[in-house]
Amino acid sequence: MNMWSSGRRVLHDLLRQPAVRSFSLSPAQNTVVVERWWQVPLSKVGSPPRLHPRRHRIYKLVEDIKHAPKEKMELILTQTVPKLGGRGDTVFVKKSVGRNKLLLQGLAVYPSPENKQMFAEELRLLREGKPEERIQTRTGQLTVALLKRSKLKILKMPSDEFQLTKEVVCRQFQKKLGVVVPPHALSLPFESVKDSGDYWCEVTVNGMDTVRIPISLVPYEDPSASYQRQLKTQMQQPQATTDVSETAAEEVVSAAAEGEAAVQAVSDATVEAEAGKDSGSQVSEAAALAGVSADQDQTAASTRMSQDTTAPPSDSPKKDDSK
Amino acid sequence: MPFHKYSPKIWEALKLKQGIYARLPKHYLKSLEQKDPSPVHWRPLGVQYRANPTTRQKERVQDVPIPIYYPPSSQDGLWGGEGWISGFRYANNDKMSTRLKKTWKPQLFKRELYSEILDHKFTITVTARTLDLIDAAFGFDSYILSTSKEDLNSKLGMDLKRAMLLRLARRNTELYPSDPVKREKVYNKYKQFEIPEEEAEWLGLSLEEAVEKQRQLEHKEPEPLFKACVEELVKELHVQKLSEPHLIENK
Repeated sequence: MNMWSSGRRVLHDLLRQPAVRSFSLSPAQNTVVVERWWQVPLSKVGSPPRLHPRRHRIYKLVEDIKHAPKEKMELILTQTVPKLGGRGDTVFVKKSVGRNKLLLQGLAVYPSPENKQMFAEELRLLREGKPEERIQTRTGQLTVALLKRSKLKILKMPSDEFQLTKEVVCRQFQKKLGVVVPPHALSLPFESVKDSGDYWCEVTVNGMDTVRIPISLVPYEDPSASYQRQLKTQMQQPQATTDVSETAAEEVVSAAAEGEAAVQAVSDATVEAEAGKDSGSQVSEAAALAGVSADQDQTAASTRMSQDTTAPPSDSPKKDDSK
Repeated sequence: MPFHKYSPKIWEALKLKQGIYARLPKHYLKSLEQKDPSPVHWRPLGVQYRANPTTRQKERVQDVPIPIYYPPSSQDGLWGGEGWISGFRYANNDKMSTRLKKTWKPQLFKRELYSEILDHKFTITVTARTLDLIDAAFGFDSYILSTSKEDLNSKLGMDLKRAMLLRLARRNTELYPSDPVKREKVYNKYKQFEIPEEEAEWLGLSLEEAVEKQRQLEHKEPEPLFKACVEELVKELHVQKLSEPHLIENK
């Protein structure tokens, strides 16, 4: 019987809801709540209680709700509001903001049952209704804008059976751009491809807007940090002495061939001509790495050069082919 | 022998049963009866019986409301049931210290509130509690239409209620005469509060206003005595003419 053991104040706190209320949910109203110091003696049923003119007028302040922390009010937005949300979102805002800005300018409505039903209807139409009746959501519009200015770059897997299918593209979307694309919203012009090059795909947002996104399929490159560092150091070392454009091709080729015998450096000229496309892409990446500022590790570069034999697997088979 | 035929305590009630007061509509007289407003400045116990906190025995309890003073300016605004609490307090909240006079008054604001039914922005003195109640009722119109007369506690509130209900009752002529789409929307939203026009006309009128209204309804222009005399004369002449023997001339 813990409830009764702590006195009338606790009882008052527990029975906080007033006796008569027209609406179901009434939050704490902004008033001064007082209580009598002296108890009024019980009167007979049917007759009013007799009040002493002074004793029963002595009050004690129970709480002044205007000093309590201000509560936030719940509203449903009808338009896109910066920092709050789009149409149909239920937000909690400060009462001053809600009353003086949102409700006055018609940007939001009260979450009455009728309004909530109306927005639920809209949401349902979005999911199940015909495409003509739907309205694009604010997040949908933002997604379309993001996709329009994005480009997908996919690295080919080192295995031979790598094929560019729908699932692969969906996964790459999720990994690289952070956009979840279900397979039914994606359409590829081809079934599956193996060669590197530029392609495109179409993504449908919310069943309404379609965006075309370019994909470029590039050969495999080790994304591990150690290999990237190697590339960077190779870029930076010869650049200190000779031109960038000439040595870019040379030192990449020379870095690849360092593990092998120095005699093979002579045939690098032929290798360069044949593997022009590959090296072209590698040069662009190496140039990009050189552009990024990083620590120079001259001493470690020598140790890394010994790893060159294992690091670029795509280079060595190609060099072997050329030979 | 008793001094009066009826006790003075029931004279007020008796007065309303005779003369023009008796001719007022029944629903209006019913609305004049005083009812207790819902508690605003005190927390009601809500139960009839409870267990005593010390003796743990069942005891009967009653809610004793705190008398609140509503100044006349509260009738011109919407105070949401708040008023002045005038009484005493103990210094330092200690029973053994001095008793000091204390009056708690609500903080008032002047706010612009828009009514959909009346299509007008009203500048009203409100309290923070009123704004909270409006939010809880999901709209200014819903708040006014759903709150009872005692809870509103304001002449302005009852006038607004009467105007809104009259407009809803006369929706074809007065509610958004130039915009039928808006009219349908607003009517469907407040359909649940509609009452017949005869009742809406009398809602929230003070006793004097109601008496004056009834007097206007029963007022007739006094007929000049001349007309009544002329009609009487005509009737008499008719009777006289008919009572004369009817001569049929035989030629």
